[in-house]
Amino acid sequence: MLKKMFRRQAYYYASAVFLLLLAVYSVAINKQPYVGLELESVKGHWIVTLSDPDGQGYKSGVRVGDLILKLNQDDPGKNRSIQIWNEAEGAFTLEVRGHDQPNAQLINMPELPFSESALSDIPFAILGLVFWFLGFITWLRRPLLIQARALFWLNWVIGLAFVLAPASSRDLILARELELVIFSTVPIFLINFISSFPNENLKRVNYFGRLMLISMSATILILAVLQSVGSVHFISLLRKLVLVTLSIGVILTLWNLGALLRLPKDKPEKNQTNILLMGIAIGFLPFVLLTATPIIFGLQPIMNAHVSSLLVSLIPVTWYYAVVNKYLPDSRRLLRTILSYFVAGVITSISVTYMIFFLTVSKSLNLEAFPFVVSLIILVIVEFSMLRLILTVLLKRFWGLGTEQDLDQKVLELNEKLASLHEEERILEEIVNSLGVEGALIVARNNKGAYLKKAVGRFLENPHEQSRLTNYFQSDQKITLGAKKLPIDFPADLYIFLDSNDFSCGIFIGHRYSRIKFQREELPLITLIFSQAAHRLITAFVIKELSEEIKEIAERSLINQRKIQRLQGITGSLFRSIEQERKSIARDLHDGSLQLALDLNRWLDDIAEECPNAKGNKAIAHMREVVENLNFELRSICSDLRPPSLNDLGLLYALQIMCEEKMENESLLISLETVGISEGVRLKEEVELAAYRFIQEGITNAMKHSGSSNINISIELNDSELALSIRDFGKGFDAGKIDNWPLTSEHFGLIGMKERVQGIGGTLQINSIIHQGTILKASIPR
Amino acid sequence: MSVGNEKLEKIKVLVVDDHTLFAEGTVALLSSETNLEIVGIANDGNQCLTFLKSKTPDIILLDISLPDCSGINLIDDIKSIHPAVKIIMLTGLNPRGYLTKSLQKGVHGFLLKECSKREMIEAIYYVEQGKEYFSKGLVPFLKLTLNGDKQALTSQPNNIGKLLSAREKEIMDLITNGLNNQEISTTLGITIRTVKFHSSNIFLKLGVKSRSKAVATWDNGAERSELKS
Repeated sequence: MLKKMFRRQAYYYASAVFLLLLAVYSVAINKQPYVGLELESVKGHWIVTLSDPDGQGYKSGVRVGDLILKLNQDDPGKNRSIQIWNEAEGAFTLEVRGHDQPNAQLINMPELPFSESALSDIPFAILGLVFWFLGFITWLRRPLLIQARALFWLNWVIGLAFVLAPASSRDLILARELELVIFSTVPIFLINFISSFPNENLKRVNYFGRLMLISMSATILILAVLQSVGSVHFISLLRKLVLVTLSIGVILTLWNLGALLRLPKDKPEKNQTNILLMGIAIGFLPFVLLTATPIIFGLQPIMNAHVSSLLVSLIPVTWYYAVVNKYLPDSRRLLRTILSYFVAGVITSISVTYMIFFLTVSKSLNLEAFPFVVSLIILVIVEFSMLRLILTVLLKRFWGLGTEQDLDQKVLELNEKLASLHEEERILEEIVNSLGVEGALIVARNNKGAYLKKAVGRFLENPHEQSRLTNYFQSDQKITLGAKKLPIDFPADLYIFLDSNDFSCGIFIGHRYSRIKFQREELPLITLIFSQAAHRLITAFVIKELSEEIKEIAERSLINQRKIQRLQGITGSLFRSIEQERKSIARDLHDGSLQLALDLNRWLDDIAEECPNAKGNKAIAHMREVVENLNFELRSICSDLRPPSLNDLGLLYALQIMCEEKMENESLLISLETVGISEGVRLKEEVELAAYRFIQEGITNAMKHSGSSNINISIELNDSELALSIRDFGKGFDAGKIDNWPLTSEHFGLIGMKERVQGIGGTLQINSIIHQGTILKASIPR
Repeated sequence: MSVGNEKLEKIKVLVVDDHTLFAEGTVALLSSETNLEIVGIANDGNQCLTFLKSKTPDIILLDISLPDCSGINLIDDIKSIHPAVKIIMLTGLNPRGYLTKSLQKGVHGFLLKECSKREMIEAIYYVEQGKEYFSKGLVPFLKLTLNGDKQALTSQPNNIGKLLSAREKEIMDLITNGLNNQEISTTLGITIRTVKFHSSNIFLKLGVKSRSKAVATWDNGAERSELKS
């Protein structure tokens, strides 16, 4: 926590330091003029080796080769600045003797008015302030982002370098030492910042690069201190060392940029990094090209550091933009544009340079001037493009020239209209009308090979043209997506091919009414709007197809439902007629055969009693036996067909009788439990019969399949229904498979029972657990 | 009323049966009895009730299965018209269930339709004298109805072996082995009716109603007698 707090505080302290230095040095530089003379001691004489045209020395007429006799009324060798840095800073009076003049001259450094000194030096201060400020704001807005923090420190150190630059050129106290050190640490922070973006490939390079830069800046620090104390004299080496360090930093940066360009492009970090690095490259390029490179090679800088540094302000702006914003433009496109401009500029400059040489305007090919020409040309190009852009916009706005904007507007309006259009017929029409073309034809083919065609305008009533265009679509290679201009003799002007997963689609757009050709720039927009329309049409088509399918399925299911209903009706009547049949057979047997047999039995008994000693006694006895068996069998058949007790005595009696008989004939224990129903209660014949058959079938099933000898039956009658359940404690089975059972005799009982109960509006439920038994539940409406 | 008058008075019988053969056969069989007079034949419940509105028979021979209703349900209607009339039920069906119900309703006799003429006449006289009469074949059902399961043979468990006849023992062994009636009839070469007759008697003697209880009682008894010996 404390550490965090301290970390947060560090940003404020650093900022305070920055502002303090800015204030101090800004005030200080106004107190002391910039002399801009470099001296060298030759045989005890101080000779001017460099006179900065910006410096007051140059402005007062001091040139290279002049002798400085006295500085501030004293020997120049006693001046601290000259001792250490070979610079005549801090001079207010100079005694100078020109190399071709015999007399010495006393020069007073003028006290410059504030405005003049500010003009030359304030850009640096502002630049520094901009760097620090943008870094600070970035950190404030995204304090948790590593990149934002790295950017703060980078901007801080760069800002500091800019603040120190004018002070150092005046050799203010410590300013030069500080500047050298600060400048040499800029690349370290730069690499630190760049490596905060994930890039595995360059980890080692960045690591070693950083090590090298740190060691170099450490060397510079030591040298600067030694130089400051006056024990060594490596002034030019020190300067070059700083510039080399800076250049290495920039090269490493560009290397990072190159490596990042090879990363997969789907990562948003990549885009962000690209924009950042591009900003760095563009910002530093003029400085490296025009100031640093010539100095390294010992040449006169082509451009003053003040001027080239102006472009550096692009860098913090880009960085701030790229780090703070989440959604960025496509860096690759930006880069392509910039590169194309740059390369074009370089090539143009080469040709311009040679042209000037051949036209003998210039006497010699000046290699030093070439970067200058490049910069100039690039500046011209940028300016030209900017002006052109501005003018185009102005022209469009004030004179309504340029068809592009027209089309943009139309397409925008169209897009809004399309969103509200639901009828597919009108979508295409609307487009055609809006764009003012003769007609349009959309040919779509789904992956099943079915074609969908939609024509409006000219093509609607022209089947010949339709078929010609359709043929073109069919014979098209279907490789290049997007819009394509058709040959002049075609009835259509444009052909757009689109491909989605399920559909490939060809769109033909007719000529405009005035036969104005579509411009190449207009094609993407046209493609966009038509592809949108095509997608909507296809979607509508698919929906239509689907809805037809759904309708068909619904119809089929209705038919099936009717079939099922009919089947249920048939099943119901089948069961009814079976019962009817059984009933009538039972009645026939009972009223016919059984009565006859009973009568026969009585008369035989009578004979046997009347004539006890008749000859045919044995025969009569046998006949009596036979008739008794006959009676028994007829009765059994009658009972099996339709238990008369059900009709005569009611459900409960009939069930009790059935259970008693079952228990007598089989080794079974049946328990019968009743709720809400007593022996006298009578229900509809249909209900009683179904209930009776359900229990009968249930007992038979349990006996046959369960292997259990215990059966519990429960009967419950309430206001609306008769609920029956029959439970065994046997083997059980997988109830989930009932619907898959074949309709064989083994399973017919259960399935038939279900049909039967459902046939009279009841439900039947079969629950079974393996090794625990089966429960059949039926509920039958009263 | 004098005794002589009573003797001269014939017993008036109403036959309620839709089976002409049986009804007329009954009339023919009973015609030889001088003390009996068939006062009418009703073919269904409706006719019976209509008849009763004009005449008063002493005894009604009432068939259970009638075309328009069940004879059982007719009992209450008859009693509401002539509470004193005595009813003998007749059935060609398995009497199980009907017997209980009829007794609950207060009938005086129950005949199986295959009963002999003698039995029928006996029944009519019995009932007329205020007694109850039941066909011979009804004994098992009757005992069950009257005693239920209560007539257990716990008082004489050791005699269980002696209780059954040789044939019954043979059948009981087969029952104990888990054979059903059909299988027993095939095994012993007798009709199912005979098997049923025997098993009914066995259950009656053992005082049980179900096969599994019979087996339990039999096994129990056998164990005890083994222990004893």
